[in-house]
Amino acid sequence: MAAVGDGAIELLVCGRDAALVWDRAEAGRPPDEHERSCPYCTAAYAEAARLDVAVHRMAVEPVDPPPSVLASVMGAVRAAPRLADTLLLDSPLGPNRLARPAAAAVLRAAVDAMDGMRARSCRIEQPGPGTTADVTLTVAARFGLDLAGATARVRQTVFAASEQVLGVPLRRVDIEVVDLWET
Amino acid sequence: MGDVTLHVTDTAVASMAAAAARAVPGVVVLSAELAPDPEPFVRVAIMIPTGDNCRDIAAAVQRSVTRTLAEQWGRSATVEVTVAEVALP
Repeated sequence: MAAVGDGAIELLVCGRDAALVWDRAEAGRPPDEHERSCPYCTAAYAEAARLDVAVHRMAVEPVDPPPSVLASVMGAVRAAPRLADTLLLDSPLGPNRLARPAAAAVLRAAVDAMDGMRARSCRIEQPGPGTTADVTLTVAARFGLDLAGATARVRQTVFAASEQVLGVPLRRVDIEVVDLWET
Repeated sequence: MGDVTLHVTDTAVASMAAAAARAVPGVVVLSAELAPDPEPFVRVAIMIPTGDNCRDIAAAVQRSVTRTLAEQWGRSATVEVTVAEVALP
């Protein structure tokens, strides 16, 4: 199987998108003419069908979690977030903390609310010594959008959301457009 | 009346801290604990609704917990608040 680009689309040796073959098998639709005669498609179809059967068999099995599961989950919840995965927040009584994943989710949501833009990833770092942070965003944009103007608006939105919602002042926002989508 | 010995357990201190944190509007307390430090150190983890300023809410919770512990426990504690979750719509 060949990977194209970042691996977002996986092509079989024959050039057909493997996801299309898998989707057909999972939906229970018969293979088309090419797939019936192509050894690569036939193998992919059979593999997906076998996996689908196994998944459905496991899905109907009753789940009987041991009593320790609740304690384990609550322990994990209490332990999170780790100090290393937090941002510092200014306070007159000494610094408080903000979970980095929560902060990133807020900034991604601010970008997602914009017309024609979707956040993919968001990394926030506080280089120190203060609470000022740097943000690195990857985004997807609607095809045809003026990318320079759109990313400038994203930058403004992220600056504002970080200050007004998180309470974390920003020093810089780096934006990388990693994908486009067509409506 | 003879001497009276008062001992407040870690659990009781954590409960005071949680109640004081909950008194701040919009705050959901996820955990509160008295850390095993030489000096009283209280950690509180909270969830807040989106739109509220995380820094300001954390500071309000910190003030509330610090004041409550001083009044009810009679000791001054360092309080650190962690905003662990922001509830997005």
